[in-house]
Amino acid sequence: MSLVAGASSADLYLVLACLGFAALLFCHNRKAIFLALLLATPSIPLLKNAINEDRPCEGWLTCPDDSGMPSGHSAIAFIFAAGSLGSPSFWFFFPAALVVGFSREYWGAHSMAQVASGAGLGVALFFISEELLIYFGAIKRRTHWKVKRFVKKRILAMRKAKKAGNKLDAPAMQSSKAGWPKVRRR
Amino acid sequence: MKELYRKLFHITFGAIIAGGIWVLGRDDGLAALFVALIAGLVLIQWKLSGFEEKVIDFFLSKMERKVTIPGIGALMFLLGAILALSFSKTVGFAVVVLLVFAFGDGASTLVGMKGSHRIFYNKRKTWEGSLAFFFTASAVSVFFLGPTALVLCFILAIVESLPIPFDDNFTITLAGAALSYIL
Repeated sequence: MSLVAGASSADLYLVLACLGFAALLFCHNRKAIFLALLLATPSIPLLKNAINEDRPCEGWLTCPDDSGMPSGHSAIAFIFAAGSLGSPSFWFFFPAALVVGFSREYWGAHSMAQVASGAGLGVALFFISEELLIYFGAIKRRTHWKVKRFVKKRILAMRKAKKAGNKLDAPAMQSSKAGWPKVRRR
Repeated sequence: MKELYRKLFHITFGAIIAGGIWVLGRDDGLAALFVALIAGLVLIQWKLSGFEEKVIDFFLSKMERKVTIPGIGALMFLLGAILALSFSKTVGFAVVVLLVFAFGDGASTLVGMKGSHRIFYNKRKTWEGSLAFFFTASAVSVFFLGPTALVLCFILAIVESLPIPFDDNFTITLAGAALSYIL
């Protein structure tokens, strides 16, 4: 935790690079993540200068010179958390984002309000980037892979039931409220 | 009918959040919204993983538009509240922006659906909806800001009617927060 919390601005890029590499491997919507990071790079310092709120600077961490609102670390960490929504990598990026956010508060670099603001900004930047890319036709509006897999499984189950002849008696066809046959999970 | 439920929830949810922020103040309010954001992200991931829960599914079936991410509307509202509270000059102004957004956006959708006069620069919106936004939001915010509220609501009604590709939770709250430094 101290490693993450005590990161100077140079270490920030190291963490960013590691997370970016992991995102390249695991995240299905990497274009939106990178655009969000590009948008975050100028917007966070600009907002810090505009709001000009002091850091709490308690504890032994060397206090950075710039203003504290919003927290850049949490914004970047939460861009990855939002980008991995709907995929298993969320369970890596989301706790990582929480560790980054809470450790910044724990070591006195930011107040909880600054961390919350950074987290909100990060998630918002991701969704704004995604909308921008969809608007300019760079990506299609996504259906998450898990949902896709579920729908695919259900369609296969329906076909199987149809082949079996009688829809109601077919073993794969246990109709749910939504009209979809239920699929047995592994 | 779904849109009516959705917007009534939108207005109630907005009024509760604005009242909560007024009571808690900026720092505690942001901390509470942060907790809600964390819970929201986990719930969305949980739903996307295919799990079902009667209460959550009931709310989603009654209020959610046809979207790929379940609960994204509520998450966007939370993000809008965080942005408004973070970047407004004072807590009071952030509360007013949230009230304007909650009541104005709700009224504009409900009235705009029945309207027939399309706005020339955005065919998806109607003049009736924008006027409903202005009058409802002004009626709510004039008690807090006085005549300044009319200027705020006028500008935010224009922002709401623009054909911007982003969610209006972001555009209205960010525009409101920016106006807190000017008005």
